[in-house]
Amino acid sequence: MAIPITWIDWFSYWVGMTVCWLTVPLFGAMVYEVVARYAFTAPTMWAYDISRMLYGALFMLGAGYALSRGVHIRADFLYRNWSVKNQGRIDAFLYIFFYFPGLIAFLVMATDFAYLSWMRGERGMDTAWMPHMGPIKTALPVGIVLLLIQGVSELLKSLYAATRGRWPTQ
Amino acid sequence: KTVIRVQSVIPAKADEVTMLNDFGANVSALTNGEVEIKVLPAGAVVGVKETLEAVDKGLVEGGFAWTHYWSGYHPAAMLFGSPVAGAGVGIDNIAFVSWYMYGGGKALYDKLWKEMGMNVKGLMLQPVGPEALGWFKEPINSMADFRKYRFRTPPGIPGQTYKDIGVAAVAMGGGDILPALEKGVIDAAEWCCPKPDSVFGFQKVLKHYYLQGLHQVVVNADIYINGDVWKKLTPHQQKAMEIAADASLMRSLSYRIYENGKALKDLTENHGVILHDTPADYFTEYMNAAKATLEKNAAENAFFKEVWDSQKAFADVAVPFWAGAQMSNASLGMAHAKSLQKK
Amino acid sequence: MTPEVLGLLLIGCMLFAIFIGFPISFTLIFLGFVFGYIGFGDLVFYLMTFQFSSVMLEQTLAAVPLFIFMGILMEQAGLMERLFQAVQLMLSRVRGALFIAVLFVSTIFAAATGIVGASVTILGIMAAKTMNRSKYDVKLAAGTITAGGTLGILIPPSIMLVVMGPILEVPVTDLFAAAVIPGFLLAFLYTGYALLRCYLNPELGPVLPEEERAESMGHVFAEFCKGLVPPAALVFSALGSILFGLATPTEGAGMGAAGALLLTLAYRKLTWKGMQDALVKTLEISTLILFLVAASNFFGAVFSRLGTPTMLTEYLLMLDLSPMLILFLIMALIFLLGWPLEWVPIVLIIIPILLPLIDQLGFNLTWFGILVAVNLQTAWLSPPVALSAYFLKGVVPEWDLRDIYIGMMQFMVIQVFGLLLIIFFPQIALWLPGVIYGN
Ligand code: NA
Ligand code: NA
Repeated sequence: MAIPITWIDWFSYWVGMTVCWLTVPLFGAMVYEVVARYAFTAPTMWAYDISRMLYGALFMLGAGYALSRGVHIRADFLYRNWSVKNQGRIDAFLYIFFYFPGLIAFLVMATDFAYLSWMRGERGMDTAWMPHMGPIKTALPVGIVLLLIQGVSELLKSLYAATRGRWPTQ
Repeated sequence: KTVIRVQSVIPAKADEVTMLNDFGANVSALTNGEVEIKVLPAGAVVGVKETLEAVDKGLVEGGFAWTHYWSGYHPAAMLFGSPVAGAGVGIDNIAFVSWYMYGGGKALYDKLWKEMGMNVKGLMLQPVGPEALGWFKEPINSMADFRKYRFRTPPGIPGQTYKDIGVAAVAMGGGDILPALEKGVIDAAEWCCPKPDSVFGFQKVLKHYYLQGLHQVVVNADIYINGDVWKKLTPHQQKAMEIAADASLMRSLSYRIYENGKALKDLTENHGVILHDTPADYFTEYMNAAKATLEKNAAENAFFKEVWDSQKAFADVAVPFWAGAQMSNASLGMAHAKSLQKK
Repeated sequence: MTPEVLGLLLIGCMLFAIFIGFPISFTLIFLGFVFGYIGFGDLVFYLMTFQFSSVMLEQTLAAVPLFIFMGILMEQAGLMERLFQAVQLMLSRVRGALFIAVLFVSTIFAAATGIVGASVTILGIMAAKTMNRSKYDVKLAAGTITAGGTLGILIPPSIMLVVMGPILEVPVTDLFAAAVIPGFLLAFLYTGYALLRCYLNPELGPVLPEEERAESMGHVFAEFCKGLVPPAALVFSALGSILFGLATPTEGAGMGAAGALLLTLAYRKLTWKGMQDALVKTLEISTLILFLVAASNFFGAVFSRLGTPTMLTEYLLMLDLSPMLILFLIMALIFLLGWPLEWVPIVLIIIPILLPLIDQLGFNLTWFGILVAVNLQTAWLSPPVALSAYFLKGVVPEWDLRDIYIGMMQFMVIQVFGLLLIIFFPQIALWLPGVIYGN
């Protein structure tokens, strides 16, 4: 059980270490826009769209990594008083019966959503740049896949806790 | 009884929604209450940008926007919702309705949704053009003046066309415009026409108003209904909706003239707004750039070309007559407007 | 069971389910799926897709990772802590000095942006460490940070008022002008409350111990120049560029992020590893916040799609009572809906339904808009869908969520007090727009 956990966590770790660099072009675009507008009265057409797409991709593609780091907040008033075995059992139950079915259904719809965007050659309509929307809409299903992959590791961790009475150490 | 929930892309108190409810009341009356149109405000079920896809999937039964709102799915939507500079061939909003009703527009409009791959039935409802050029902090006397200002443009091709003629075009959402103006992020802006503009509050920040503009001379709003919901209606109910939609074209057009007139009178008499004529070089420059954009799109997309060709063929026949008649109308009207100013 | 009743059941279940302790974002998503599926079938999955896609393309939220990156980078270099230490050193004899500093910065933040997530997280990053070390009361500290953060949606520029303007048919400029005094009034009430508590019980915001105070005014001055001025100048120039209209909030945040990078370079605190750490930490916190925003949007959309808010509102419309009583009931309804919902569905769905009634009762719409806005600030502070609390928990994991809840709810009471003030003294809202725009 430990080996797949290690592999998956390692995979998510590297996804996170890579995805986090999207922040750099994000502020780069904003600085460029401000300078271009004031120094040259030449606002760009693309900075607005680029910034929201980078930000959207950032948090969606980072969701799996965030799950691996346990940063999604829990209101753990009940949870923390339970034994580790019970914590593991509850988590495992929720992963199996809610997490995976829910996210798989979400993935199916989101894939269709992104696919249609590519098929229609959809462009953004609320700005004058009108960028292709396919890439950012694809980030949605990709982010869900990353969440599903990391979910396998989290499920294994909770099964480990449910059977052995302790959480696997990182 | 069939309830068609229609999510609009604008706030519930906008004039468009008033007229949409008027259409709904007619549908209800014509079907003895069998079909009820229930208007939901923007964002009620899904975000505004997702409205059309939500109708396609059946999450809501109907949607309401301007046709060009969906140009992102197909560039030809622009030719129905806001053909830039009158499709580059001088079509105004009344002439557009003529093309739509009798010039082959309706069949092409039905085809548009199929080209987009959306399972919807659309009905054109509200011609709401012409829109104003916009609001400026200082008067402009030429394109050279215009180019000095950062100007909030409409999104899409009408906005791109400003970029093409060297205007510092800034695209921003409706909610950002007023704060941006107040703080000087932008110096000038366009939104729609006197009534909606005054609700927006432009007159509190900018005083120089230009009515004559080309970016959205023609603007049309429409309703679209999920295809499966439409098919379940009886032929009589479908016919009732089509008739109510045709009636709505006239009702909206006439409603708008009076409402905008009242708003403009209020703006100039009570808020110190000064009306100006748009500089002459604007029309030639914008028209040329718009034509170039239209040609480029027509070269890239077959359906776009088909629609534009139809509009051009219509314009070649109808525009010379209609422009002549409009010239007479405009002279007649301006004579009266001038006499009012003298008083 | 009608969908509307199903919606009530959904809220009931949520109150329980969130506290089981599964990550809140996923709990909200599961509940939305289950109840949405029962209510309207597999369309619920489309609804989820559309809601997530909407949040992913919301450009103003792009300011969140940028402000966080700015905060983390400066925190890493020790600049943030130093900033608050310098304040403390200067106000070394004042009880609760850090509360004043936090609320001051929050108010500036509120006047520059309207992004609660950015404000709460950056203040958490900036102030929590110093507050912990100075043994400040966690509840009161959490309360000031979360409540201060929510000022952003009231003090202009405010996205909420921009959305509300066209719905009420009141110019956004009027709403902005009307929100200024109530906004500062609340900031003032928060500060007064925190200081009063400290005055009554010095343990809550202790003064600096004798031995940590500065030996001389020279030391204070040196710390002021080295510790306070550079990071404060950066924060204020990022916020100031927004405030004075040089940049939109997202652009200002981007300039701030770039500025923080230059500042840490100047202090020779930038390393490759430090950069990678700051970026990855930014990713963690941003994902936490934005994923939660998307999840709660989806949850709210399911609740609205089930029709429960509309049902409750229409029920209210049927009552035949005096105008003032109806106003109180409306405020109570909005307040209660703020517990499970965020402000967006309330403004978009509830207000339009209530509007004919408000018109009929002859209330001033600008005043009414401000009442709604002040009321809705509590939506951020009311558990279980209390995003402020979770934003703060994300950056200060060592604070117990229970303490954060208790701290926040004290400030909700102040909020209600502020609301009553504006109800009984409408001039608090209406005086300024009257002066600026006439009528
Ligand atoms: Na604000
Ligand atoms: Na809440």
